[in-house]
Amino acid sequence: MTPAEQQLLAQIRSALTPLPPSFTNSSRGSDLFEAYIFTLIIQAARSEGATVTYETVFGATPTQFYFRTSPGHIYSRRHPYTHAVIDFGPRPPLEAHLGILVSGKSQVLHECDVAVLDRTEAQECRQNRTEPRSRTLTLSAEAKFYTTTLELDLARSFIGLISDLTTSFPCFVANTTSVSAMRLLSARRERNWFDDVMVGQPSADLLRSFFARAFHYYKAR
Amino acid sequence: MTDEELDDIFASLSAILTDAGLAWLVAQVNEAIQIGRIVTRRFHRGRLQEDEALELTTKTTRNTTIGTDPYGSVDRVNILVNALRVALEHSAALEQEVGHFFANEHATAEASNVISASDQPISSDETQTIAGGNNPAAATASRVLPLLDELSSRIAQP
Repeated sequence: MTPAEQQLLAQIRSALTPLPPSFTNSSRGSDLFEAYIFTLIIQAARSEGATVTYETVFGATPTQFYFRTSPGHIYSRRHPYTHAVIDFGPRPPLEAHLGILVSGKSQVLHECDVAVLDRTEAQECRQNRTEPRSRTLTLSAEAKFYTTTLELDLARSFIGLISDLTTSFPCFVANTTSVSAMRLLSARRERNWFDDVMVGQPSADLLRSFFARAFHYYKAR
Repeated sequence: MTDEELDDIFASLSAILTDAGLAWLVAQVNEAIQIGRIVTRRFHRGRLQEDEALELTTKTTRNTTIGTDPYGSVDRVNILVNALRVALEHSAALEQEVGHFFANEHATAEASNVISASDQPISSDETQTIAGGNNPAAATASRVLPLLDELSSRIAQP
């Protein structure tokens, strides 16, 4: 290594100091990415004519938005976790959540990074301390925030997940891509996937349209 | 730049990132490198006829097989640099977008804060605030990205 390259690396070391504590947590990027997908769902719902309000797990209007850093129970009162209430008028209202557990066809609990489900089911689950059933999901998103190409096992896990979920609009969403993973997901039509999803990128518009289509179908059902 | 120099840069930059608390990023990079570049190989009568990257392969035949090639020194450094670039750029963009979105969702100034908190009793009780504009991630990105550009251009030099 030349002295110039050594100096450049020293400058990089210096520029990384102090690194915001949030960076040193590997889950931070994932939390932000999930929250971003949540915002796309809200935008899609509004584009389909929904009225969106927010509510805490206690049923109050939030003064701050609390989201989960790791999947938890829809009824958890550990913090005043926030969800969105999506109302399409004549149709029963829906709720959008970040990081909740849902029960699949085989009665196994799965983690849903972002989920939209029937509000009645959500209310009953909060009251009875149970997990929502996957058949009450309108859509669900498996979010992957990566800094390199996606590992193939992420796509395999998604295939396993959707085989046990009863939802019409499941999707796999990643901020990067991988030829192998996308080829595996492309093999079947029901494996909806969106790669290279990032703020301002065309892929984000595609994902928003996918969510809007899910709401469009929900209104027509 | 020789392979030896590139390997030195990879090792030094990995150590810098690990010291800075980005061991998770270095681990992701090492996993990607360990797998290698996925390629397709076409054989005819036991002889290799064609060898190309998977992303460039459009037609497969019965004689097409999948294999991997190890990444070279320059590829390894580029993967590490790009991973850091993605972490900085994407985190800053997401923090700004999410913070901005929820600030607009509520009229009250207090509600402009988005807080993420664990739901697991065994996890740390630490909560994190999504700052929106002028976030720390954006500030770090603006300091580091020009240096990464310079490093990339040096690596690209023969």
